[in-house]
Amino acid sequence: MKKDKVKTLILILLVANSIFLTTQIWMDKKLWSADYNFFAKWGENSIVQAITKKLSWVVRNGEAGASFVNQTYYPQKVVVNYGNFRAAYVNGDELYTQSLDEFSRALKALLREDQVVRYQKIEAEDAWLNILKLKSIYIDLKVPYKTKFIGQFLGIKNTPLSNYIKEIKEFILVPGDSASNDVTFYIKDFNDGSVAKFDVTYDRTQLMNLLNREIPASTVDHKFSFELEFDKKKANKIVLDSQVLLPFNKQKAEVIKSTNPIQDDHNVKNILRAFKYSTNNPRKYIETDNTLVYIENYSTLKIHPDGLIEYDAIEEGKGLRLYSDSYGNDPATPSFQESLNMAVKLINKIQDTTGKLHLSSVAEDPDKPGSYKFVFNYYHNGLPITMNLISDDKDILSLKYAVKVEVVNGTLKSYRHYVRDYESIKPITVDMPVPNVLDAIYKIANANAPYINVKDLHLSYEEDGQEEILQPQWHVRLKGVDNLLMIPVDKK
Amino acid sequence: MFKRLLQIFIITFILSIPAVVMAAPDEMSTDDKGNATDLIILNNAVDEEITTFEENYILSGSGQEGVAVTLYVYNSESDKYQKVFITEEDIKKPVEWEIGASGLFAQQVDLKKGKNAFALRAELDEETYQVIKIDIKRQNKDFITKIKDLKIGIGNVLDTLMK
Amino acid sequence: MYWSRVKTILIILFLCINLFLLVSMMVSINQTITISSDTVEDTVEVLKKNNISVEKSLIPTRMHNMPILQMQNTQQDADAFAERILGEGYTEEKDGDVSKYTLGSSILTVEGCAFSYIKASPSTAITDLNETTVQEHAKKVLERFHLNTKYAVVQAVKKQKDGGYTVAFSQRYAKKDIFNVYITMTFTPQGLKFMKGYWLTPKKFTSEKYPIRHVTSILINFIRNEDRPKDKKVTITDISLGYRADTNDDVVNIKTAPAIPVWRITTDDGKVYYYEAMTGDYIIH
Repeated sequence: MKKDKVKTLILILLVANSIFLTTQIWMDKKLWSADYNFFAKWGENSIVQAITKKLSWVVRNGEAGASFVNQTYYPQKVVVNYGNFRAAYVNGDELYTQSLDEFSRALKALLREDQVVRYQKIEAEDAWLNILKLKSIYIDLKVPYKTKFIGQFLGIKNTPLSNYIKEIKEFILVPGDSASNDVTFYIKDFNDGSVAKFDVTYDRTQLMNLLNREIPASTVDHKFSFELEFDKKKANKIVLDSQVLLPFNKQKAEVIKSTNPIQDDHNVKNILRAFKYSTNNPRKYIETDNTLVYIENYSTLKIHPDGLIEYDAIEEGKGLRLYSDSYGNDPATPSFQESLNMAVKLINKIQDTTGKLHLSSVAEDPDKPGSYKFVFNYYHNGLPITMNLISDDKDILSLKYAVKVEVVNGTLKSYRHYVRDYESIKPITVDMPVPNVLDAIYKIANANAPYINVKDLHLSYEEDGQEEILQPQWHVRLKGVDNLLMIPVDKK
Repeated sequence: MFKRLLQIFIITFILSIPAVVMAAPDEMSTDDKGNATDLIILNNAVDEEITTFEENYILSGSGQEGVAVTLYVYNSESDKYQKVFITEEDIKKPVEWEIGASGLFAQQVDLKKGKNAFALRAELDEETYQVIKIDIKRQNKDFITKIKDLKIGIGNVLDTLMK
Repeated sequence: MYWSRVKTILIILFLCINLFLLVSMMVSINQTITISSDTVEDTVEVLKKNNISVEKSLIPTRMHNMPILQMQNTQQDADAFAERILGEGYTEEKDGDVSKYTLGSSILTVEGCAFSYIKASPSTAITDLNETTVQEHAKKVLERFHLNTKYAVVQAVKKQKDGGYTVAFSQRYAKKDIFNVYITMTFTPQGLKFMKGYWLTPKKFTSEKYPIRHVTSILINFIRNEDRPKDKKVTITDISLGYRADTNDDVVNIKTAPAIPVWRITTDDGKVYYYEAMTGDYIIH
């Protein structure tokens, strides 16, 4: 009996070992000379290629509906005016998703390719501000987008709205007149500042429910500066732009911790795989500051010890191919939406950024269709994190963004990513009345000018690459000043 | 025992000092118009009565740095404007603020149902002060609006049940 | 009972399989490629037709897989390096990656691992300067400058017109030459006058070994080499397999760098051509 057990054990070990050795030989590329690979040879075979092509189509279609959700172009805030109370919801609030969904549905109805556009130009100067006083949903994208791109975000390839307005940054959605069941969009043309009114046939029951609901007690009320007449010069020394949104209650925020998640070889291998570099790459350099440099596939990849990843294709067009399918035919020129999705997919291979990263700007090269430069920044529980990394090394310019991806016709041209994880460590209440913030601004910025013009004011965090613990601060953009002014928060 | 009382008295006295820094009186007569007109500018409409459905309202404006502003509300019983007090962390405090370097102020005030006759007393120093009056009427949401809201509320409930 | 016999048979079977797999793996790792003499002869013929002559005996017929050689920079601190060479009191000028140190008539320029040193008026006289002593002397100087000489070999010694000598050092590790790492020093009877180099020190081999291209295919590629003079007859005087420190414009402040296996072809006109041994690519100087 005992002998039998021993035999069984030996047999199991031998079987396991032979499986192990077999996989080592098959998977270990370095055991085969560069010219020969058992599977590569089979891959070249035309029958095999035909079969795998069919399979990849199936996989791709399945993938289309899969878990990948690009949220980076969602607006940072959705401002809902309930008539007498104005709430500003951020990604993570339950009402953010509801209001954004409702807004997107209505916008999709407006942008539909088969939609007959009912357009009217609004001449009155104060019209925009007056409409903001009504029950509405207001969205400021912070950066202008081509109308065509906005359509693509919603799955509409070409929208007739592009004929009326080329670039949009702000929208207001209001219920239409009481007679019809329509809704109305007021959209500001970013190029000339003119306001256009678009009526859309749309079932507005849900919208009305949303605007008439009971507001939870903890919601923070906001007012635009023009409603308080803070955009006018009277006895005040600070003038705010009309649409600066000011909070009027105590706000909940958090103290957060910033960490560099790239800590060990495992993370580095992950990054190499994301850029399709071999993990046992012979061409590996270590710089004097311990930056890892890899050279492969017509590109250079640098991983700095502080968490900065830099990739540059040596020649444009020869960089990493970002298409997900390797056997299918490449579409002629990937669309804006496709290029953005490719960029976000790559970012997520390096770091899971769902809900943490927002698209800050898009630049398209007008002379080179299919060339895009996407810039992203981190957000934590709705508050933006401003990058302010100043480097001693003149080769690394001050980093004012978290991620920058340059895509040319579906291939990667350059990639910069300052990898950071943020976690909440302590909740705090920000109880700093707006006038106190404004007083602090004036004291710090006190120039010899008769007055100061504030263009933007919001709660934010500053990442300078040095501090591990980040406190929320007021970030202020002043007219004529390049750098953001940062005011610490009085907190309890 | 006596020592104890003395300690309590001293502590109370010390704690009350901040409240005494503002020299504004607890009451103001209705015809007190002040002796200055340029200390603060109130952005809210002062010539006509403001009506709102809301429970609170924001008084905003601008003024000289260092001017102390105190909020008063009319009391029909005494026929005088009296300081408004709010209770924060078990301490009763008057609603007052000082205009800072920016020159701007914005203060949220609570409204009771019906008429709220407010007065702002702005003081630059012991002798110079300005009085601005503002009336705000808090209306109940009218019956029709209430029914409308109720209808929508029921609709919501039915929708959820139907899903 | 029946099962027991089956198990015994299976054990023997799997033992054989395991042995076979292990041998396969060992062979693959230490793979040696041998070229047939026919191939060598054919190659010589083709070269001859293209005005290139080469002795059959120069062409190696066996090639083992080779690992990558990790090189390290032992003078990462340029300021400390300058102090050792110039002494204290130098002035420093920085222009991007290039640092220039000056003290009197001595100038040291450093850019990463590359450096050059000029001493206009050397003052440390050497008593018995000749071809042999200069080598010893040079090595001592290098050691004083903390430049690692463990694997340094003297490549050449040349006599100068003014009675001085130039010594050229390169590195050799595990019987393989490292081609582009060097230091040249020029001595006059008054002392060290000039020094120039690109110096990285071998650290260790990687555990992975990579297969090397057949040298015959490299020689065929050599026919098409644009740098080769096509108008005259060329004789190949040497074919060696060695290492070459992979330099890159993007990486200047090196701590460790890879040295990859390369083939070096030397022709009778003194020219040298380098080919990457793993890929067969020509390395442009």
